[in-house]
Amino acid sequence: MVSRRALVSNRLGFHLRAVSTIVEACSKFKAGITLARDGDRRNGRSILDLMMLEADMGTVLTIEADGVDETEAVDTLVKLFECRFGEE
Amino acid sequence: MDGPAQPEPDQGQPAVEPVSEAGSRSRFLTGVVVSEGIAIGTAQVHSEKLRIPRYEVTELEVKLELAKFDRTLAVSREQLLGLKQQHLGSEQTVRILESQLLMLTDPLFMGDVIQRIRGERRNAESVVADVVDEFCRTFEAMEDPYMRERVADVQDVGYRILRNLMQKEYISLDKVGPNTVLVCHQLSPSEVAQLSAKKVAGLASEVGGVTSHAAILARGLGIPALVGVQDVCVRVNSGDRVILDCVNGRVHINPSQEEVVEYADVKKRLVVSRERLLAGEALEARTADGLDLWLRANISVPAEVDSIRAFGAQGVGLLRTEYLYLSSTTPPSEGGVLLHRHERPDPVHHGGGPHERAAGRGVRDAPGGGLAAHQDGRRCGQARPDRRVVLR
Repeated sequence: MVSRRALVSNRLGFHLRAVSTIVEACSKFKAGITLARDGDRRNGRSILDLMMLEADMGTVLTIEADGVDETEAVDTLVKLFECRFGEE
Repeated sequence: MDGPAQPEPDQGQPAVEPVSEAGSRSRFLTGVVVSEGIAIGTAQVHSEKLRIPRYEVTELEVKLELAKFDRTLAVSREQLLGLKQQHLGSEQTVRILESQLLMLTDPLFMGDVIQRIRGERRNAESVVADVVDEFCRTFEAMEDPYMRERVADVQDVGYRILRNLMQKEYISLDKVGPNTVLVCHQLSPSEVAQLSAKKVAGLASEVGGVTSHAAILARGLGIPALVGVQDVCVRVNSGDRVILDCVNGRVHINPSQEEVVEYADVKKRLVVSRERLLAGEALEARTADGLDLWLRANISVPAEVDSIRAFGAQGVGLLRTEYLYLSSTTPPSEGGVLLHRHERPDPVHHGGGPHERAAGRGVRDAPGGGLAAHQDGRRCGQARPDRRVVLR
């Protein structure tokens, strides 16, 4: 299992666009992926579950992946956080 | 969503009553006028109030329910993909539809439905309705107003699945043509904000009040509207010809040709009398003792600028910014709000006039509304920021 922390740095936080981007990315991997806020773990493939994290700008989340492509999955997600989900 | 299945109300009346002589009356329903006018058009029933059948199923039927649910998801997906194809030009619409497509395949949402059809041995419709309700309650309890607004998206997807399960026609506001009289249980303010008088001839709803936001918006847009029309969604069918008499508070269903002619005449007279009132529009707002006043109107959506101009308003007294938020999926940027203020062909700018303070009203605490309002607050040096825009 691979685990890394990521900072929500886009202004709008976990709004529809950011969450949709995450779900679409997670769907490309085989590994089970979760995002957690203070231990509250949510399914990376569920748009509704992720929105319930209510993660706004400045929130630190823990990304966990478990499966054959876990490293690649976590790297991809961390990059999405870093580029602020394409938000200008 | 609806409670237990209820028997359908009596629909035994003939669709059209025989016309014998001029002045004979077709069947009509009564309601409360919230926006005056006459609308003659074709009804489109946009009913949010679905009657959800609820029943238990046998072990064997569970498989049938699951198969039905599965097929419905495929149909819903096709519909959303089709809609997306139609809106490829609008990045924002595409994004909304894509997020709805993701909800359709959401493992939490769909997993819950499948598990409960199996576990509770209930029909798919009742389980979907319950699961959607539970998600909506969770979102409604959220602190962030943007997240609370997502209830509408979850409901939208939920209704789509339910309509497809029950094989009810899905009507989106996009498909509303001219001379349409929208008939609904309740219109949300953001739905009304999407409408324009050019697209919709009139509105009739089962619930709502004179001071509801939807009613205020309808008046602002100049769309005749009735609320409190009991069972209008059941009594009127999509495609029925209706006259919306928003003077006397009546909906005439499938009126006779005589009535249509009669009402077309009433409508014309209303327009004439309105024009006569507006003839004074160009006059200065000056009291008998020579005091000049600024005449300004309060608006909620940019489309209202046209109607307040027609009434001779010199400016905007109060801009309710919340509809700029409610009618969009992402919070509007400061630039976007400013764009709204400048989208008129001639410059729209704010400025002080005589008696500025007399008209001074605080901007309501719309979510994030302070953003755009601060500029004026600074200018006017007031504690409560003031939005004042002058049309020149």
